[in-house]
Amino acid sequence: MSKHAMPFICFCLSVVAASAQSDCHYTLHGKVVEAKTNTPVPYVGVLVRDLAIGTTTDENGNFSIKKLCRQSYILDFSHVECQKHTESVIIDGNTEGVFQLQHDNKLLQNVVIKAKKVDLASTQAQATLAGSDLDKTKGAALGEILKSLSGVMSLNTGATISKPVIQGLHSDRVLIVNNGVRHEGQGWGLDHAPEIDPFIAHSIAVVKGAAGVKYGVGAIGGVILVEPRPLRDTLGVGGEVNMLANSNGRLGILSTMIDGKNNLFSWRLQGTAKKSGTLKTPQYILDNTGLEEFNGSTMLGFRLKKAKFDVFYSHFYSKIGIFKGSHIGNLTDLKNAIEGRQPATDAPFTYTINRPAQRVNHDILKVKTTLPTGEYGELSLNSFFQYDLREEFDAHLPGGKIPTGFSKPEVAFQLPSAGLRADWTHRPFKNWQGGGGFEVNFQSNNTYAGALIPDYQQHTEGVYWTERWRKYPKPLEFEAGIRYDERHLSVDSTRFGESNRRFAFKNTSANIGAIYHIGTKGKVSFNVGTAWRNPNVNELFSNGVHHGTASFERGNPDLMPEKALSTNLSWHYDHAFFEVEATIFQNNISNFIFQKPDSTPVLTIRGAFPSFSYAQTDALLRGGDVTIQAHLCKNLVLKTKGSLLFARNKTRDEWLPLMPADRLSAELTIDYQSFKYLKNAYASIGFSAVRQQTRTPLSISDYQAPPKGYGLVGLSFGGDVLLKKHHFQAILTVDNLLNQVYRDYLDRMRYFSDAVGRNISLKLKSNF
Amino acid sequence: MFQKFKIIQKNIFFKITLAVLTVGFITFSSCKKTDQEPQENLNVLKIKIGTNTYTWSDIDGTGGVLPKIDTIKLTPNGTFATEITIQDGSVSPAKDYTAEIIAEKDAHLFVYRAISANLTFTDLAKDSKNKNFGQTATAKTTTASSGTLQILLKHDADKSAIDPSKTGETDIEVVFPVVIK
Repeated sequence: MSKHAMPFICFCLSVVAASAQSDCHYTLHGKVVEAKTNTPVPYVGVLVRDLAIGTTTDENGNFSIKKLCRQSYILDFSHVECQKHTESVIIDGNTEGVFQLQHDNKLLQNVVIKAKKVDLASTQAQATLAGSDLDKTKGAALGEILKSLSGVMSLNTGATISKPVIQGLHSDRVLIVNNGVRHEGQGWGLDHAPEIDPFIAHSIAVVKGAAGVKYGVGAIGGVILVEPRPLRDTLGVGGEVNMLANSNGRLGILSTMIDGKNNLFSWRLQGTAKKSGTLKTPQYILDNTGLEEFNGSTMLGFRLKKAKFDVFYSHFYSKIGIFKGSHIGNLTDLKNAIEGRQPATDAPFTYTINRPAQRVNHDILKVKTTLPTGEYGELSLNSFFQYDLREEFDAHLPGGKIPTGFSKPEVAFQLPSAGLRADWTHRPFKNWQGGGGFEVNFQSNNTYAGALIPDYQQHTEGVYWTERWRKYPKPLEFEAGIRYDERHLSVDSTRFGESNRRFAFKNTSANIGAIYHIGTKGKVSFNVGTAWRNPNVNELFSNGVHHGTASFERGNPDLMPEKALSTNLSWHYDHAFFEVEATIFQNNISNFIFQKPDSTPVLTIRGAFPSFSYAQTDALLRGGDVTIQAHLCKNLVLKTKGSLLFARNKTRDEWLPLMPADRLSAELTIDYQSFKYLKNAYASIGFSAVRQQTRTPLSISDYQAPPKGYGLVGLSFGGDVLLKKHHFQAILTVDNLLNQVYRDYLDRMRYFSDAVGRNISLKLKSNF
Repeated sequence: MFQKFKIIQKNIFFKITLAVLTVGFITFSSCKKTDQEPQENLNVLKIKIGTNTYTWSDIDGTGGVLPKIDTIKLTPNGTFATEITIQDGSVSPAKDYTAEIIAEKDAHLFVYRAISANLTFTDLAKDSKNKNFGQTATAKTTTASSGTLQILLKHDADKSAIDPSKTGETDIEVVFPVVIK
């Protein structure tokens, strides 16, 4: 085989590295393999054209070239009896590449080399959504988009408010890092969705499990990393237009991006407008479920001397109507609404948003500076300011007056935050790579209407160091890190019948992990990490009726910080015909904060409400998720995903409430079909099944038993449309094809209404 | 030369960082100036039956001190005019909300439910569409008995429904003990 294959092997490859002349200490580790058999190809000459340095692959096909800068290179790969072929690849930082030699039948003398950039992989379980997979989900809220990743679910308040759930945890236990900075929004409420425009994202990665060392306070269940598209790196001006229309809710989205680069700087302008009317279940219209969203962002990148600056500003605005049938005054109303089944309020379609509603504004200003620190490494500084304003509008207030308009909210919070994060990465030293840094963060809350949570000020300081060991091509690599954080919280709790309180929370987090590569196709990753969070002000000081759930909530100022110890074990196998990614995890959380039911209800003028006090227990979450992608035959791919979760309250020896039920999904896709006007076309059919949640606590009586399991069918078609000189991408998706009536356990609106019915969505994307 | 370079870089960096942080702190300090909105608080319901007035009050609001609830004492086989007053008793003098509710009577409904006590409510006050409103009514007692009287104030109830109390939202739901003897 190899004897015959050799003449067809040709090597010419240009490796384009991102620009940054100053730091010339990157190493490219490569492996050259034959594409079909994956067998390594030895004795291939590799030459960096401009530097006139080079090397040869060893017996196992491996090579490495040191002292590469971040700039464009052309690498010439050469082998006996070979013709040249050019293929470009982007490398940024220390890079591992697998270079496949692909035999092209039509041109026997030609062999295409494909390279794929491989960053040092995280030892922690991680999933990324980017490219066409991200395009398929566009138009949905961030929480909905992430559901397409295995092990990630969403906690909903109706179809429009959606929070991501990672390994069973959400809200204060999941951290969102938007463009390199912690997203400081009002994440505590179950109906507070992340204030992020998904159209900003170029890729969204989810880190599963505790990641306190890298990300600090709050990364107990995992971290969501939203990465905007990098600034344009070639001279000129370009852009992208996205248009989207949904049948359900008659939603329309227009999202535009223009970017450019001249000799002085790179820039980008981006904006999204979104408007939707009332949504439909298969049987009725959900009154007042419209939404509107207007977002804009701008980014500017330039260099001054050796320093590189990135300035980013974004504004997010949304106004979301809350389903009218869910607005209740007391427990009797809640029970009536549940027994009523069919929502009492039935209305015609409208784009108008009425009370009850929520309105959110979020601003981020960020400056990132990267500067080399002599010969030894690179310093990156992120300073940010964020301002979050959340206003909630009730449909009516006790008393005669019926509020109208949106000038006076019943509940409103202002949450400004500012922070600075400095990360220093040292130049690879022997086989060590790593760095450390510190983070300071200030935040203040002003509840200027309503009295759900008290005003507070807090400041947080953290310092960390991590190191990574990798001796290429040894199969074992490992990493370790440590971090110390302090948070000082002072609460203005006089309105809550308490004197002002000050709290100081301190914690050390640590992390160790390893990856073992099994041949070229498989690897096993293992990670043990810790993380923590302090009790939030609502957990410390709540004292009132939470109307959404018709329960009285009592805070507890003596709560201790919550600490997580999570272990993840992942196995990845990448065969030519199938890929497997399987993760099992365990998250042991001490001082897990939960709502413990009190024995007597609280009597108010609105009637008796069941009462809950914030308490702590030890929780143990165990589970796993698996993704199998099989290439059944040419262009036919079957992707199967499944996840399981067992979440126990150890102290009370029962299940934890509101945990995602087991689920399984499968998607069959025909890929890469080309027709006259349509290239790269695909068609897929998907099926997802969710079991009824049977693992619920006995001591906390739910107003309604967890809904029955359900199965949904979806379709998706797409491709690149070529009309004369115009070229655009089109995707047509159908969700809930069979217009299935169902309710989901993790949807807080399940008490009041069915989930939304069939939706046909058309997405168009064009680059210019 | 290299040293000088470094200093320039640092200056630029610190200026920009300082600018971001300054904007931050200006907003921080400006936020604090917003006033706290006073909350509307219904916490006292008074029902005048004949010449006596009975009070259900929870002036410290939800939680805390238990509500104070009078026992309604009536004579058998009587007919009484009734009238409800609603107040915020947490302020002094107590703020009355009854007039506001009467002004929005089309959207409100008082519901009376006696259990075990031989007590009925008729002649409920009407709204502008001649549907029940019920802020005033006539109470009739028959034989001696004891039990409870539940009074609801519903908002946006469907007044044509078979049981209007099962529709709309509940503003008030209180229970008085009743003794007829």
